[in-house]
Amino acid sequence: MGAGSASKQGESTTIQPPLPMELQGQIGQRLREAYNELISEPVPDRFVQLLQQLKTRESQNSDEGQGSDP
Amino acid sequence: MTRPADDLQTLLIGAVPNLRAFANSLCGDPTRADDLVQDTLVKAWTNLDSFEKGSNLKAWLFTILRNTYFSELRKRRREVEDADNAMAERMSILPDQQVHMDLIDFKKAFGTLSDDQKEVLLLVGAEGFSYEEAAEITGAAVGTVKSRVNRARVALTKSLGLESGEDFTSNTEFMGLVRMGQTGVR
Repeated sequence: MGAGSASKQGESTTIQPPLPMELQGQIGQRLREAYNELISEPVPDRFVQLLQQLKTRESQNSDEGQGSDP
Repeated sequence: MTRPADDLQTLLIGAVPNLRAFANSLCGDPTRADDLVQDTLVKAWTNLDSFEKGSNLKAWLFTILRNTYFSELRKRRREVEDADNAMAERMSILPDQQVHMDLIDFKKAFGTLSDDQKEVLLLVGAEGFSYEEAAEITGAAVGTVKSRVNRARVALTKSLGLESGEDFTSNTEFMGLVRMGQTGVR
């Protein structure tokens, strides 16, 4: 599969030489720096609550008739 | 008694920081990024049947997120052409981040990449997925992924002025992307 099937997207008609390792390293480092900054942001409550809701809804569905009070 | 829902809840919460970082980097809009993450979590939860046990959950989540992003993008483009202009103005970096210039420049340069390039560079360069995994996630051929990653790196090097004597051919498409802003790319 992997070899030469790039033409599927019609975007690599010209061959671009790979970057020197040193430059790849510099780019990679900055990318990870920027990305890690984003990753280290605290998770907003809305996501914790959302998953809690999904779980609650699921267990209600599986309990079906077992009436739970409001 | 094991309760799969508990495990899943924990796993999904654990993936949120990465999903947010990916979504944010991809669309450049924190509010929209969080909506994307929310959609991804709901879809993951409700489509758990289609997740193959033993395969990579994170890769699966990233696949859902990027598919959601790109299908929304196609829809939006059909609906509101004008939105491109408004979005383009918003592509600037968040003002209150006390990061050094290098990083600000980097983010600016990153914002000018095409969505295709951003996506693979994030998956491979930032998340550490293999080329094969990135190909699986994006639905592109491995060769395509490799060439996109390389193009992304070359474009970044160029706009950061890092190139060392290397002569990269000028790329009119690239300049077009810069002009259009990040949501204007195909």
